[in-house]
Amino acid sequence: MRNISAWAIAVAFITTVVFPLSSFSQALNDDVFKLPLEELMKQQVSSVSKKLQDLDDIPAAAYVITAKDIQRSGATSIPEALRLAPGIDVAAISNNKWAISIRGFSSRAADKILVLVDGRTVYPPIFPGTLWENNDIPLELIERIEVLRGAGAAIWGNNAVNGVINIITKSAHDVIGGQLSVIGGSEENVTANGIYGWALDEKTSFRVHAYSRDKSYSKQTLAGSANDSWQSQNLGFRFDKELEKGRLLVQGGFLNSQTGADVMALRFDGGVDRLMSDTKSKNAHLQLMWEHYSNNGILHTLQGFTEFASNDIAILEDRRRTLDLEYQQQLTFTQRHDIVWGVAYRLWKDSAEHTDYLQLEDEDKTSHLASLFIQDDFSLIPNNLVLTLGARLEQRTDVKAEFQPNIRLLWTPDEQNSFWGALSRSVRMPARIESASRIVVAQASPQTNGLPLIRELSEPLLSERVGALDFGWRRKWSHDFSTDAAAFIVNYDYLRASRVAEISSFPPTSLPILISNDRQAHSVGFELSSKWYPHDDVGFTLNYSWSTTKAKDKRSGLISTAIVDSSPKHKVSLQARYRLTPQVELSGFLRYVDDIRVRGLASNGGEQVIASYTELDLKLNYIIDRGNVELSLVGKNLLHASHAEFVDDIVSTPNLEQKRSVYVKLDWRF
Amino acid sequence: MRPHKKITGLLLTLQLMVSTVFALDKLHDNEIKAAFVYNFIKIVKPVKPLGDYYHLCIVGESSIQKFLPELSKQNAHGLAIKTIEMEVNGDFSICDSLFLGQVENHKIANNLLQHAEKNNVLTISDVDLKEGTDVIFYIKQLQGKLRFDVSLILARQAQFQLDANLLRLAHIVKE
Repeated sequence: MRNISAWAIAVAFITTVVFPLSSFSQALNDDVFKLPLEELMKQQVSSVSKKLQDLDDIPAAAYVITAKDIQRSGATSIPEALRLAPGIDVAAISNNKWAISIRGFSSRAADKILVLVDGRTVYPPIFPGTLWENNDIPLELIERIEVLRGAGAAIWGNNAVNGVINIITKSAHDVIGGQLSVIGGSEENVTANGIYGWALDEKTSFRVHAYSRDKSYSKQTLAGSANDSWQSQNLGFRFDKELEKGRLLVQGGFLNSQTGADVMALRFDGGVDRLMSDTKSKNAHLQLMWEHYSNNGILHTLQGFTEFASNDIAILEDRRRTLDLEYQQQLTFTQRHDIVWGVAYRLWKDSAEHTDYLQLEDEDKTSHLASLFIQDDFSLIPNNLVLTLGARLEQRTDVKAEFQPNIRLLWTPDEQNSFWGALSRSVRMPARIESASRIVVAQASPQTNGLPLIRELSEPLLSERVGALDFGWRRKWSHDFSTDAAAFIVNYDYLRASRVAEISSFPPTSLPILISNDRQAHSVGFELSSKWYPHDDVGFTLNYSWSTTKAKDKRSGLISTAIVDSSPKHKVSLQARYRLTPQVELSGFLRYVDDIRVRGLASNGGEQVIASYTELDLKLNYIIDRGNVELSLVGKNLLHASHAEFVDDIVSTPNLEQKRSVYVKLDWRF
Repeated sequence: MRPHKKITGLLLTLQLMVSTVFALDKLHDNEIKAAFVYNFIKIVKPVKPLGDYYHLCIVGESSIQKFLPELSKQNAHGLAIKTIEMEVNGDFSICDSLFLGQVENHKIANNLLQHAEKNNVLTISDVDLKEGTDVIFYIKQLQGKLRFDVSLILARQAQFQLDANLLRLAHIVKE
């Protein structure tokens, strides 16, 4: 009996542990034959990258906004396209400014998300947050936008605290021939984009583009007209070559934007100026990436970019030169470990002249950022259980070295389900304008004893720190219905906070506000995305998110902030499309956004409630000339004549509303 | 219950659970190539009259060969697809489409393709063909994704009419 039991245990052990660990079956998926060519061409193939990089299979809350999603939505800018993803707060402040954040802390200067374009960061080192109006990329050039929600610093670097938005442009291989797009409308004025691509040979392609946007100021009911026009021009090229064992990418561009401004700027002497000249931004960049597979199967990637940028933003004039280099290696070890490691270095020099409204500690500054990162995807059970361990060590000028680890687990018990969890630590390094500047935050008034409030730095600012727990579940209920759910618990520490200092400590020409890292916060939330495509001609995507944030002060006397309430608790959106005939498709985007509270500077720091709203965008698309020409009619914000979404909480500008509008678009491919 | 029986029971239970684990629903690159082939067959209308089946002939060695028989489960133009593996000197008059893999002799490949063109056979390949040898649809990999080139010249010579949408999706259209 004992012998039989011993054998039974041995057999059970072998079949339980050994066979599953050593077996690897690869069943052909019959559904692949149901995919049209367009979908097949989007699939990442495993033989090049050594592992499939489908975002559905990574242990993170990830969402991909495809080019088709953008086209169907009727969006005319990247911020509008970002509304399509769950968990992102997108609020238009005016025709040329947005407050965009992930998982709370929405603000004009939303500083907790990292934004990249083809891997190049557009998060400026001087300002905490991305200025979307200065990164106006034609939507026709975008292949997809990858949105990763949650702490991602171990992979992407500092500032990826609440998420990463990675805008991927189309390869030159995918744009052969010409395309011309023109938009004209009630709020859009005129936007035109031309792209032309050549296949130089079977493995080499080259494309160029020229783009111009002219968006007029919005006509406001109460204020008359607002100075929120937006003009931008964009020229660029991209060269893609498939090498024998790798690839080469070279791309560059020049962006020029002018945005209307109406800013009440406070002077150090207590006076107030109304600045209405256009803010201007210029950016020229060159980017290179070289991938090579060595004979031992290691993928080497060398990439870098250089950038020249200048920004005149009402109270700040900034000039910057950047050089960024990164080397990365990807290799497989014992067939169980997929390891990526690398080093990166960034050098930038920026100069910001002193103005009557803002003064940095040093007008000119040279900064360095060095990073070392490693990540191991360890297949505990092949194709079933993967443990990911990653960490990034970063050191930046004036900031102490930060270690940002993360651990993730992905469990795929069957074809339909996958479960994942992640524990991460990320940091947000202070921007230069936060860590070393004097700026007027409120004008002289009887309440301030006739003194202007000047913000000073009391001690060196530390990096804000985040500890996050994320988990999620993806399920394919059938070939045409899937859901993706994620939840998170995040603790924030060393958040930037302000307090009024004792007046006797300073000359009595101002009332000083000191900033330090004396605030904590805690947020929880849940996000759900469901897709249902019952038929080739019909499709629905439903997104829902809920989150709440509470703040806690680590010392008394801190100036309260409405930042914890500046993001809506509930957001729901429904995207739907219906092909009426082979040439005509109707698509719609319905969204509900909960009310928020924002401390707008226009109200002298008072809290404003922005009411909840429901809005609808509709697009009618007509394909003619065998698909070479498409004509679209789009109505935006159709349910109300106008509605407010946000107010500027960084500079004092009039409160503006988003208006109902319509535009026509012509796409011509030749 | 004695401990060793509990352990046995637990392991057997685990074994039952684990043995029901399926491979991840991932698309292998050769599966996707096979799906490309299926799409070409499905989209391009045959020129010559079809028999009881739509015949896809396979010649030479190719990485997608083991997936092509799966095409036999699919339909095109109202008929079931039948895949036939043929030698280079086989009778290709039965073929409606020809998938060309690696063949030893370049001249044989060339003769094969010329014969296919004269007999209105749709030709597809994923191997690097020498100068002077070409197929109507050539599947290749660029930046980790599959793309295809179209020889409009060969298509016209074989009297195939290609959809404008198909041409727009192609990376290179040789005219």
